[in-house]
Amino acid sequence: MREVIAFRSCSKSFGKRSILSDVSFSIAQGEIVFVLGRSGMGKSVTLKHIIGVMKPDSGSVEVLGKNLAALDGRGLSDLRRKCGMVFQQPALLDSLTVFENVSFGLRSPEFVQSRRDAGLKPLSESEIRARVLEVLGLVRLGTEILDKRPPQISYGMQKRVSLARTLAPGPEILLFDEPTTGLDPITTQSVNQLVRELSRKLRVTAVVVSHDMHCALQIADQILVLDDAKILAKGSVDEIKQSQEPLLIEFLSEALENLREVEPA
Amino acid sequence: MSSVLREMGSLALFFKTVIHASLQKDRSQGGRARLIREQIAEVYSRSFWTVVFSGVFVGAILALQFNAMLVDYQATSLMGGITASACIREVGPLIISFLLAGKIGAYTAAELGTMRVTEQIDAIECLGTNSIEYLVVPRFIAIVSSAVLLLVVGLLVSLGGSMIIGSLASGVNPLQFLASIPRFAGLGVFGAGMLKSLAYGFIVAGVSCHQGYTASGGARGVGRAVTWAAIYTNLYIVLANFFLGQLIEGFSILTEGLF
Repeated sequence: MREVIAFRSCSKSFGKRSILSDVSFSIAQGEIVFVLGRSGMGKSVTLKHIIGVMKPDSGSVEVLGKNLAALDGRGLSDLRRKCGMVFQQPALLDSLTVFENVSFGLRSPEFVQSRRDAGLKPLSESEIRARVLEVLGLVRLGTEILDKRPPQISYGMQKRVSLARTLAPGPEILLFDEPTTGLDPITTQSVNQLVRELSRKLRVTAVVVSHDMHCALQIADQILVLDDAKILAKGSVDEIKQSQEPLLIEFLSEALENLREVEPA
Repeated sequence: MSSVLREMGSLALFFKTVIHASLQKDRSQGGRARLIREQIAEVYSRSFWTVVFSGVFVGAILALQFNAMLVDYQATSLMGGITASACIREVGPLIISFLLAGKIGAYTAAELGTMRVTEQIDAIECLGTNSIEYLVVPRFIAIVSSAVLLLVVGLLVSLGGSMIIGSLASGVNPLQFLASIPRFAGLGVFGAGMLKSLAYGFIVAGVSCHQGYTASGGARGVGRAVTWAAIYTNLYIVLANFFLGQLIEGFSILTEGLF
């Protein structure tokens, strides 16, 4: 499978503190990869490197075959448009309705320009509406919330609207920054299922930054564990389960306990 | 002291970014004109009546203060001109900009700060929209233009307030009151007041947008942004008042007799 994200000997420090030290890994197209680790171990920094918000002190990051260090502002904007980011919080604009929020990316100058560059016209209002309804359907939301503002719907619904907004411009890579933090177990389960379903249905690559091994065991294709600025472990769910690393064993015992509670024999 | 200098440097860079974005071709969703209209409506709905209410009392207070002196010199007929001059040149722009800092500056810092800490600004950027163009430029233009227009409103009502007090406290005829205004408050004084209002509008808009846009650290971060927006705005306005006063004084000496 095509390699869509590659970190090659990346190092990043903030002052004297090393966050990433000679980190190398790659992610293939269509994979769901969980980046796990304790707080402050460089998970979000990894995500920020993928969308080009941060640059490594040494080494290189390649996304969709392009070295981010070689891209100018326009190239970076173009690349970011292909990477949909789902934030820890829903991050919906309170002053806009659900419809306006979901259609926001479809009306953005970058999206309009990208269509013009491809020789296409900007989407018409009816096409925008159809696309909004399509992505809301993908996250299992109906039309009854279209005219509501974010504070008028539940937090779980806001998370789904946020996901729909990210999906609307058709990204090739989905980046999730701790998508289930602060959610109750049922909503967490449904968000996890959505991540898996959408990744499979839309054939997009998903990178999920989390500290939740329990979620990772349920939906990940690959798990990457960061600790002390290095990759502690990388592999499939089965490979990670068999790891003898003390930190992983601690992570795993807690997660497997939770898994047994959720799925009683 | 170093933190104030660092803040000033950061604000200067922010000003540069916002002014550069303001001069770019409009690419905002829904059009920049609509966004600016919405923000102007927001500014007016939040501050119009406060400006009117306080303007009346500012004029009344000035009239009472001047009345005590003018009665001694039997010069109450000059009350209109002296009150108008003080109002337009100094008190009006200062009081109105302080009011704007409290009402609009704090609101803007809190609104943008909340959008920053809840990742709304990051989301806007990730969806291919320049957040400075979409969020900051309309607010900036709306606050600056409203500051000047609100000053005109404030001055008119403060003159009304001082005219009423002048009439009640020392029996100054309203026509006599109005007739004395051009003697003390000519085009030069009016221009100085406008220039100060414009400068203070820039300060209120720039500082509040900057503090909100760069907020970090959750609810406490938003609280800090609002507090510092108020502190820095008032500090910069007082500093600007001193330097603009000197500049205008120097300019008026150079152009004496021209206006």
